[in-house]
Amino acid sequence: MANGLRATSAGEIGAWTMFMYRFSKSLKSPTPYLMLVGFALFFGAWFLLSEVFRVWRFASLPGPRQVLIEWFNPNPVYGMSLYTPDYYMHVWMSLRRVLYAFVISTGLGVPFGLFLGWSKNFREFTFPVFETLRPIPVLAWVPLAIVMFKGDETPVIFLTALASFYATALNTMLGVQSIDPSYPRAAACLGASRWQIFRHIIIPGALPFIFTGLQISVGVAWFSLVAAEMVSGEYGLGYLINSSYVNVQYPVIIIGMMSVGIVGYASSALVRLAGDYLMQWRVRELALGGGR
Amino acid sequence: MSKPFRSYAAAAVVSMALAALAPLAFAKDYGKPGTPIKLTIGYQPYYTQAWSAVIQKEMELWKKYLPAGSTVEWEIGLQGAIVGNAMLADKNDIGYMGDMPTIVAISKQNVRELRMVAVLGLANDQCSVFLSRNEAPDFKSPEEAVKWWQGKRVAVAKGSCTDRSGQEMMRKFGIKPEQYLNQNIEVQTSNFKAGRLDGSIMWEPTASKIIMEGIAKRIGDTKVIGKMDGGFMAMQYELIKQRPDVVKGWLEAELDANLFWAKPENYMKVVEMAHKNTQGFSKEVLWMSMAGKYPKVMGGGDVRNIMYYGINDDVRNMIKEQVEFLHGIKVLPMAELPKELVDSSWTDEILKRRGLNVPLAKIESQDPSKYPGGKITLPASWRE
Amino acid sequence: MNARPQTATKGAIRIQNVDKVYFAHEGAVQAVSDCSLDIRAGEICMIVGPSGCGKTTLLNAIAGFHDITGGAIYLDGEMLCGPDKPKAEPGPDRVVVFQNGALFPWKTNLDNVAFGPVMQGKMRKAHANQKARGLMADAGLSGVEHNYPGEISSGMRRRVEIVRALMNDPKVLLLDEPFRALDSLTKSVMHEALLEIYYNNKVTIFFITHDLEEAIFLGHRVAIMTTRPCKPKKILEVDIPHPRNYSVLTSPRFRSLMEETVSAVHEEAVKAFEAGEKEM
Repeated sequence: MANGLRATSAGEIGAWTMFMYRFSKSLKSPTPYLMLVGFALFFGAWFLLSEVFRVWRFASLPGPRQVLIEWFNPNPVYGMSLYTPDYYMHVWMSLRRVLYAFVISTGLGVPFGLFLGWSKNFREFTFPVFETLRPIPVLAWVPLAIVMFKGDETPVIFLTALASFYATALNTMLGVQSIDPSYPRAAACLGASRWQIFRHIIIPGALPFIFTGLQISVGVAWFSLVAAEMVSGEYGLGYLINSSYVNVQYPVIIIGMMSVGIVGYASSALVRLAGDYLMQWRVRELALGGGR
Repeated sequence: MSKPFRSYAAAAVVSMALAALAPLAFAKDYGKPGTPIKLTIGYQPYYTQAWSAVIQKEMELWKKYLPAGSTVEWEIGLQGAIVGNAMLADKNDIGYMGDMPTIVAISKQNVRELRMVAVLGLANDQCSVFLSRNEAPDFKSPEEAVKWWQGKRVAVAKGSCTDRSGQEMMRKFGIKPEQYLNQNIEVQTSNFKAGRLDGSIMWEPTASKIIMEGIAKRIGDTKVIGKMDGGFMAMQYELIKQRPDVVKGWLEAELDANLFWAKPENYMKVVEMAHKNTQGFSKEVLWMSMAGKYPKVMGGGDVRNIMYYGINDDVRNMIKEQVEFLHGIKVLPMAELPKELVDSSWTDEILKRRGLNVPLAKIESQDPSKYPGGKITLPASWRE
Repeated sequence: MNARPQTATKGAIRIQNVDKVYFAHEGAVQAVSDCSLDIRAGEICMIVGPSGCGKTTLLNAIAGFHDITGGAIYLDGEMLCGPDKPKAEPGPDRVVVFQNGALFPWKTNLDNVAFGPVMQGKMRKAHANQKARGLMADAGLSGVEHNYPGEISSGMRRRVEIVRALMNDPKVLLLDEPFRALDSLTKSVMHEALLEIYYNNKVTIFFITHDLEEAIFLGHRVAIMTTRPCKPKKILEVDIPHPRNYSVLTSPRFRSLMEETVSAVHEEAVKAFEAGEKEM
């Protein structure tokens, strides 16, 4: 097979194989070095501006050295580091909320988006309401969320899932609309019923867009989480950032931010991995150096 | 080096150089003594203990003492921590805050040099009023009422004086709530209304608003922990260094504001000023927050506020205890603050010159029937 | 003499006075006007015309993708669409092979080919797969059953698509410029491949193209259509005997047929160009 990919006897390439292939390919190319250079420039500039030259307002910021020292401190000054169990509690609570919110927003958003794209009537029914509610920011929903939902986690998860739902549904809808009309027509010629077309053509056809939407929605979920965790009041990376702001513990703010960045990146990568697994055909097409 | 890499590197160097060449003096220039000055004041109209700022603002008392042509900009902070952060970001020259935010702010010398220069007041129930939901049982005393919080859902606004009172209370009584949540007072209000909160600690005037509107009931104040809470004033160190004339002038005006407030015949006038600077608060509630007498069983007392103005040993001890406490809960990295951060020299001098002592005056609590603006309807939770 | 397949008795299409009016931004556009054409069962009928003249509209009407605004279309005597039923139902008796290919990229070639009968519930999957493998082998496509369409060459993709259509024993194959996107070398190979498939499965072929050479090479008859509105301008009987192969292209009879028709085609092409037709 092309480019050193090994297929199993059934012709399938496992997701892990694909991941390793991509990883090894990326190591061979000059790009990972550029990525490291990018990070180095960022940290270097931050370090120079805030700790070495102490330029103007950057002097008030904690520098990367200060942040990293605190983060890796077995006995941290502000009580939050990789050595404190509370830190992992915060990470886990946020991760758990994002997970629930993501599952809910995907479970609702994908079917909703599919119907929006597939049925003109449904779209005319629901799209105007959908679009009117969309620009309302998460923070505006906070009071309503508190009143609407019992329990503590539910309002937070609702708020996190909200913007994710929109990203997923919209991208799914666009995915359906982007399907070349020849495909459903061909299926109709071949005797497929409307439902069969939906299942065999629309859903797989929209998958690339759906997965783009899912990657966006995971990012958006993390985004909304910080706002949503104002409601939670206890635990979570957003809560950590918020409370260290009022306690003027700047290094902890940065630790919180960087933690969100890292975990968020990892969750996006997982979604991509899942996409590759479900869309073998695309992956192989791309591996051969081109789409249609 | 490849071509694109070269251009990125060049761009990075240029932008850093430009950033470096930007005003290197990150010390603000306040001008020479005697010249007109523009001040930005971080104040909290939604915090009764800091209403001396509101009085200064409405009566323009500072005009008498600052050089002619000076202007003052007033920036509202909804919480002390916001004013503190604004001062650390050099956005406010003078700030009116509760005790905990002031201490935290002045301790951050590596960010900006600030000094505490005056006391707004000390009280038992200005900064920390303890509230329980309406359905909580009625107890004979605040100490018992507070013990009910064991295993319950309690919220405070972290980083504020209510946080400190809450933590001290839990330590003293060995109480562990099921949840000790960090929520701002708006979210706490919604949660009380939705029946999702058992207890909270709030500052005035929101505390009285919640009580008088029947959203929750009052069960105690800092008398249960045997300590007082306070409000303080802080200033930029650069301002103090460059413009001692302005510091003196502002503090003279502050003294006038306090003396005005201390007279009972002026209480209603202060309420009017506060009403003008807030939204969503009736005059009755504002009056109750400032001077209302709450029954003892609800944690009320005879004195609503003691205007200290100057910094004496009582105040210094209070600060010392608070710093130790905050260090213990890992809010502050140090167990003791450098002495120079609390600067009493200015108020000492003014008090001496005007023949006054610390504390200046008290605001004694008044029975609700004494409200001059009409009749105050008492909430259902009221009991003597 | 034309070796018209004697065994085919199905797949005769009668297009009778068909009109199709589109409503676009500019107003009403008459794509097809009073078009009548008889396609004989089992013949390869080539429809030639400049781009945008409305030939695809005709194909879409037969396939059941669009409605018609006047006239009727019959298949073996039964009405597909007409005054009471403006739109035909798409179905496996008239399968379309699309211009840009419509093999489902997310299914393997084998699954694509077996798609029709499996969807219709006519065969179980295993049985359909078996038949599909057989048909693919006949078309020289064994070895790519488990690949995805994106992994094989465009020429092979067309063949798979044609085989997919044939799995359903259609009466008519509707081909909408299927080889347009291929390079001329692949195209010539595809012509011979198509003919071979045709000789094995006597099915009526309705083939749209703008390429006159392709039309004369493949077809029993070539219908040259006028530019919009679409109507048969001239119908050419191609009396070169089947089976044909590529050597036909240089035969004198082929050249003379080209000469007869090229002017008619060119005339329409110029008209279309001047009218600035959009692809319909």
